[in-house]
Amino acid sequence: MIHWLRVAWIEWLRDLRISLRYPMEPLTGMFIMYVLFMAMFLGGKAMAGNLLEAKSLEELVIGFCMWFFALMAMNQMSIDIEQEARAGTLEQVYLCSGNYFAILWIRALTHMSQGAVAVFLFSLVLQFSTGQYLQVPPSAWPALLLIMLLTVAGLCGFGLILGGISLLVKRIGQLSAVIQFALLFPALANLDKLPQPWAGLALHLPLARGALLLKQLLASGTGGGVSAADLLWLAADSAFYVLLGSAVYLGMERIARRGGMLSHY
Amino acid sequence: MPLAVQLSSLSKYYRSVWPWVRTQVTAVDGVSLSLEQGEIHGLLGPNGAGKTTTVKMLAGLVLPDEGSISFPATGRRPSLGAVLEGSRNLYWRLSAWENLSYFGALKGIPARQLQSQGDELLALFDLLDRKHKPVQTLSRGMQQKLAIVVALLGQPELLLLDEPTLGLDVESSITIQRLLREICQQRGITILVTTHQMDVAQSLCKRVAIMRKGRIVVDEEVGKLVDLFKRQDYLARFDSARLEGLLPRLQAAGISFEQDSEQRPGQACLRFKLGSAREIYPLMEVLREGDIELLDFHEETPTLEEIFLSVMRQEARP
Repeated sequence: MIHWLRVAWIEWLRDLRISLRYPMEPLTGMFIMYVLFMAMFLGGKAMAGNLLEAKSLEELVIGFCMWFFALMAMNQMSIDIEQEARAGTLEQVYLCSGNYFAILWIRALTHMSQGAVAVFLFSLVLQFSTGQYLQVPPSAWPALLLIMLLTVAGLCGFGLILGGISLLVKRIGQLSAVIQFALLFPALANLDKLPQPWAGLALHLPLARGALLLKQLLASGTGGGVSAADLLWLAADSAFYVLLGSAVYLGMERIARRGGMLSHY
Repeated sequence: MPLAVQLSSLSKYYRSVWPWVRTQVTAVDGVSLSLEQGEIHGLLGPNGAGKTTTVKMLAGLVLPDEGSISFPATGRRPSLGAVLEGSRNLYWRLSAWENLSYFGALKGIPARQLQSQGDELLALFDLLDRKHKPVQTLSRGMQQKLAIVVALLGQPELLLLDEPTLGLDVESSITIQRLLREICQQRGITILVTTHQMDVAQSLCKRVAIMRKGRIVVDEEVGKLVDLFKRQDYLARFDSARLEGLLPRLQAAGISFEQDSEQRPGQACLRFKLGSAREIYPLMEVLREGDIELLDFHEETPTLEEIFLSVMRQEARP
């Protein structure tokens, strides 16, 4: 356990150092996200006028931040694998760690911790830019954090599937881009308003139930509005994606080792 | 010496991951190889011979399709260090020390031990003054040395080096060879080196295996290999002014020879193929009778490069 904590710390440092030494990449990413949000916000306002009130703005900010967070959780594993294969460090990390699967999870956690800070700052910028501020009651914070944690865990599981594919084919940028924009739909749309059985099915998509529960939580204004059954369903969905992602990743890793493709780029 | 590693009938066939593509390439075909503990073993062969696949199977990065790998000396998988992609195994934007601390932590080396071991290795490889420099600012030779330092962290029992001196200048190459020999002697590490550079293999390795088309065609100690490939060729050097009188005498005595291309001003060089050392006497008799001074006379020793080419030619014959 102490070994893995130390690995987590050294991974966190490595990630931070590399981010600082390639400063354009994270800064440009944040800027593009900001422009995208403002386009959606101003476009929505132009179309909806006064109908876009504080409640829906909260939903928009929360949904967008959740989406931003989700992208980091989901894409980072495949991006890491692609970059490491391109640089030539993938096999060395593989050999030194003896357990690359664990390293991927640790990296996901370190990215999340850095991502959480980035998303928090980003949400402040969004609120400042729109002139409307999120009001999350203190009683809502535990449920909010739990929902975010479970949602992100499920997204990491989904990210493992992309990571596994990336081990085999390396470049999956286009596939990631399609999934990124597909995830905007469960993040921002009201899936529970879809006709049955589509609403029930759509809620099992990655990010869908988490985003919906967050909206319900904020809509209640009190920290209520989310039942234990909702949380259990969210936990079950996330566990499903983690198990599925792990099985797919480990299977792909075996195929990559059989085919001698770990270091191919 | 006990065997550190034993590869038995190891085979690897590469197939496409796509089921509709039915191509299969035999990368390694029934390779059996034994590495003695504490020796430097070379794996030679042309491009595509299967060297890197063999090394990667040993490292566990590629799964073999047939055969087995065992570790008789320890009965368990030895701790491993490897340089498989040269300096590309490092994070170029991180400093030398940041690379060491990262890979050291992954290997589970305690922080204090990592500090002393890292400094010791950096000093040994003459990199201590570059400890905090980003890898991208180091010269090619320094990057290569750093990659070997990373591989040596944690004092591995088995070190796998894929082309460790490729692309280096002569001085860097010789330095790395010297350091590897020292490390092997002092720490008893077993080293497997793949290389295209025959001079490197000859000076570095105790034993070499030559691979061709996925198979090992020769596996022998370098010294024995040289003896085996000695062709009983003797080179003799004379004053070139005396050559005209010498050639008819040699022909008359029935001594076969050919003129060697090696030229020195005022000297001529003849190559004699003698069946045994006893056949030197008739030659000496001819020289004595003609009063021809012998400037130099020695048995020609084949280089590993000549042996390698000879093996490749023999194996290429139908």
